[in-house]
Amino acid sequence: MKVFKFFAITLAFTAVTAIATAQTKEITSKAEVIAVSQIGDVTDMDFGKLYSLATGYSVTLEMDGAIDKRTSSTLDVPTVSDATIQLATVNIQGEASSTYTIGVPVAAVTLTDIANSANTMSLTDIEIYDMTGNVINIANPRAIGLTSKDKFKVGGTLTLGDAQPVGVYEGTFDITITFE
Amino acid sequence: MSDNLRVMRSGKIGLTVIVLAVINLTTGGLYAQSSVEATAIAEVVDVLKASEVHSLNFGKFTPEEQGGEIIITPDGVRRSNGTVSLSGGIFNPASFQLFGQPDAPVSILLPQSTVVLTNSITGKQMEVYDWTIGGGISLMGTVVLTKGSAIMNIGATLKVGTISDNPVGQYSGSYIIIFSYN
Repeated sequence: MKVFKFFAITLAFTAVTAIATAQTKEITSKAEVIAVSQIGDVTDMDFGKLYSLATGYSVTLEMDGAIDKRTSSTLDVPTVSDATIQLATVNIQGEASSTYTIGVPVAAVTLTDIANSANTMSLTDIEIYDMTGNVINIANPRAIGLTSKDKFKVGGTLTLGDAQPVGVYEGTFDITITFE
Repeated sequence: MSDNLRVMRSGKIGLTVIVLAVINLTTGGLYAQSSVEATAIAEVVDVLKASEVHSLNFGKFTPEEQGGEIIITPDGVRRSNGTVSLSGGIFNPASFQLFGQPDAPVSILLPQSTVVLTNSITGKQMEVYDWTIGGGISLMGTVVLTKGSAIMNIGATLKVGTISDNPVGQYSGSYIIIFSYN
C-alpha cells in the first residue's frame, strides 16, 4: 500500500514540472464566412400595353444594349407608348467566385386574363440576358463576382391571337438556380 | 462452409454499395438548388382610332390691301386682323373623334411647324400655324377616352397675304396630328 502511494505522488510532481517548463506559442485560428447562396428580389416581366388586332401577332421583350426593348413580329403592328415595359430582373447572392446555372421553362407559359380565365396568351422562347444585353447561354455556369452578387434579365416572346380580347393578362413561371 | 463464404461476400458487396451511395450524396451536397417564381404581365387594349369629323375650314374672306390673319378657335369662333375682311358661309375648327380603350389617357401631338395651303390653279400659298386644342383638353395635349371615346376640336391661325399674293380661289393642304396612348 505504501509503495503505491509513493508512485502516485511522484507522477503528480512530474506533471507540475512539465507545466512549468512549457513555452507559449501563438496559434492562428482561421474561419471564412461566406455569403448564403440565395435568389434575391425578382421584378416582373411587363409587356406593357398591346393592341388587339384582327390578325394575331407576337411581341418579344429583349435587350438593346442595356435598354429593355419590345419588338413585334410584323412591322405594321403599331406601338403603344408605355413606360412600364421591362424584362424581369433576378438578383442572385452567393459565395464570391462561385458559379451557378440557370434553368427556365421549356414549355409555354400561359398568361390568363385576370377578369376572364377563358382568355389566354402564350409566353415562349424565354431568354436570359446579362445587364449589358448579351444573351446568356444557360448551358454554361455563370460566375458570381467578388461582390458575392449577380443579376440577370429574363425576356421572352408573347403571342396574341386574332382579335385577342382586351384585358390585363398575368402568368407565372419558375426560374431555377443551381449553385455549384 | 461455402454457405458462410457466400454470406461474407454478400456482406462485402453490400458495404461497397453503401460507400458509393455516401460518395454520391456528398457530391450532390455541393449543389444547392433554388427556384423563384417570376410574373409576366401584359395588357391588351383596343386599337386607338381617330376619324376626322370636320375639316379645318377658315371659310370665305377677302385679303384687301395688306392681308393679315384669320384665327379660328377650338370653340368655333372666327376673327381676323389686318385688312382681312370675313365673309359669310361655313367655317369651323377641325374636329376629330377618337375611339379606344375606355378611360385610357391619350396624348395629342399637334403640328410643330407651319403647314402650307396651296391654290391648285395658281400655285399661290398661305400658311397655317399656332395650332390649339379645345374641348376641355388640357394644354398638355392629353385627353381621356371616357367610355372609350372622345371628341376634340382643333383651331389654328391662317396667314393671309395681299390680294396679289393670295388671289381668289380655293386653298388646301394637309397636316398630321399624332394620337397615342400614354
